[in-house]
Amino acid sequence: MIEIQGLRKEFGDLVAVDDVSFAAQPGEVFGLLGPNGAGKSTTIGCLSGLIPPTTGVLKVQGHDVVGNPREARRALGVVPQELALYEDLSATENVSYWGGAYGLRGERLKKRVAEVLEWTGLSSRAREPVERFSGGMKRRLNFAAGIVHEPQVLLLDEPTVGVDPQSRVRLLEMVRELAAVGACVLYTTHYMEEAESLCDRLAIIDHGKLIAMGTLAELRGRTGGQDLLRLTGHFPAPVGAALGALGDVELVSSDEEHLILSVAGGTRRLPELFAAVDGNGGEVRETTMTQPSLESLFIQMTGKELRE
Amino acid sequence: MGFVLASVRKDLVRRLRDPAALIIWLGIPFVILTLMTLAFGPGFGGGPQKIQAHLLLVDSDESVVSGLFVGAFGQGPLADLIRLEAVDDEATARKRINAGNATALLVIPEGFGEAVLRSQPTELKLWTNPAQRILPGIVEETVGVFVDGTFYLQQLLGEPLETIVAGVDEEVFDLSQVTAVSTEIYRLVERIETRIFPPAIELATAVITEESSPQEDLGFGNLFYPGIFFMAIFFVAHGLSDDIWIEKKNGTLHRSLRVHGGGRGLLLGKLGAGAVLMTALSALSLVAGGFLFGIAWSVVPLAVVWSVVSGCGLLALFTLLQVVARTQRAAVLVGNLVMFPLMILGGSMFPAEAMPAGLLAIGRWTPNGWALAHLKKVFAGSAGVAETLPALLAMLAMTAVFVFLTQRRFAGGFAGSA
Repeated sequence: MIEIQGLRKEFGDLVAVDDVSFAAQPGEVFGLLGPNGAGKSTTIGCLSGLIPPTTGVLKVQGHDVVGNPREARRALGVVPQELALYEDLSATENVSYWGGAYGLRGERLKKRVAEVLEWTGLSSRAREPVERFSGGMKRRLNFAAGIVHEPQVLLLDEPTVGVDPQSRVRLLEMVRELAAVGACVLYTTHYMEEAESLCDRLAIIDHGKLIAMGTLAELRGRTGGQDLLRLTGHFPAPVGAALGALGDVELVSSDEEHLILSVAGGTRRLPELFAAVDGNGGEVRETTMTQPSLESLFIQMTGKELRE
Repeated sequence: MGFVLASVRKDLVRRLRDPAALIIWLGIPFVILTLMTLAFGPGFGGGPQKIQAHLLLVDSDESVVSGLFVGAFGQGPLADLIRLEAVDDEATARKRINAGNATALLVIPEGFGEAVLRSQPTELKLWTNPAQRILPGIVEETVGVFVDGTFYLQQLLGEPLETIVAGVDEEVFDLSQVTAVSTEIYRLVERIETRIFPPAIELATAVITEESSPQEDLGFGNLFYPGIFFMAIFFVAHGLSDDIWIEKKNGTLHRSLRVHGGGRGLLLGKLGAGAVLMTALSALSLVAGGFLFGIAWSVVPLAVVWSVVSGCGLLALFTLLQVVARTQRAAVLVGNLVMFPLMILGGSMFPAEAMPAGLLAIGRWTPNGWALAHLKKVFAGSAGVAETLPALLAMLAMTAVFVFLTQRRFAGGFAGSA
């Protein structure tokens, strides 16, 4: 399992991670969701022992990452965001190397290499140099190299970035299968739909701070069942004030050309909202409505899109 | 340890996938040796060269006297200085002289012996090779001395010699003739003995025992060989060191650091793989050195060990220089800026024996200069296992320091985010 308490990481004046605490259990896929630069990779870096934390306690399978790094790292498997493979070696040689690096030997190593290559669908091209592989195949191999030693805790740092849809589906299936056999998976992503479909629990992080945490249902509940309405057009100052004054309408963000509103029963109330805009000298040119989701929660809490 | 072994295996497999680079590295010392052999001639590697004049001889007389005259060239130290080759045909011999294939040509005319015995004028012909300067002079002087000697011998022993020749001609010798000639020669010797003994000038000789240095025993080729061999080790170490940038770009360095002891394991793996390659290079080069320069086979194993450990030290140094630089281009520049001065100062480009004392003193303090100096001692047999062991430990300690500093640099940001 993973336990993080009061993690803070400073790079000079920049606070990359600020008082982050969460725990993930065996058999659970725990998602760390946030935009680029939110502090997800720094959190993973601290947890894997690569980046020393400024303050805080990080434990992997009960072993302190700082105090007992050998045992903590032995239990960890990491699939980094970028590919980390030897292009001039074959798939078998790559996976064997990383298995050997984690202490696997002899028959056990051979067996595991064969298993993970079969599992990732690469066994038919196991002897080919990696430089001949497609992007998706390299991603799967990158994944295989991270799990060859059967880690109890798996850190996946945006493993599906730049992956074709077919390979992405396969990768997500593999993550689920690993969790099903008892692995504790920490999965960072900025893809909402991925997080929604994969993670048992989620933490949303922005500017280094944890802004929400819970199961998908709990987080959806935090939206209060309200729809998210994005309006594009011309909105003078009185428009925002008039909309904010309406019951069950929350003004999430506004400027002269954009408005984001959190509205209960959005479809029903559209005529009322348009009338308020029109009556205060505004004009609506485009309307987008999103039903309660992680994305709407994120926007509701931060006032910005997740992919910004 | 597991990571180190996995890393050694991985790096060796990667190196074997690039056989061209491997062949170039292994071929460097042989290419340089070949170039130097071409530049300095085939005798370049043969240890101390034997200086010998090549004298062609046409003996048209073939008498006892001409035989004695010719035989004198094969006596004592002269035999080492002048190599005599009998030739039947004067014209052919002249052609060989003109082609520069010999030092000189001596022609003994028919009737030479008869003329000497009867104190009649005769003429020896000597042609010398104009392309050579010293050796023809030696031959000319030697022939001159022999001619003078023949004259004085004839003056002293003319009469008995004439008797002997007459006997030879008639193929008749009776006991009284032999006795008479022997007695006459004895009297003659007895008569001149008082004049020549004791000699008016006595030549005192003393053997100067000088402590020979290894270099003096090595000869010209061997003077260069250790430096060239070490230059090859230098190139391999430098060439292997930039692999750390490939690891960085691949993201594999970053990934390795997530494994416990990963940075150290990766570096030691690279040193291990480098050691295997350098062992192959050293063994090949030293066996070639044994054949070409007469390096004793008994010192080869120790020389291989010392060369490999020194090479790993240099690899660790160059890897440190690579990670100190901010970009790969800067790393190449820094590497070259360090490598070439080190090679010059350390005696790899020019023998330390040819360097000014000041530079030599500096060169001895460079890692490669020190390593090369010790290697020469190993070659010369003046440094055995006992003498090499402390040096090996010192070199390993230096390597450990370089590895430690490189690891610190990994942690200090070289590995980057990926």
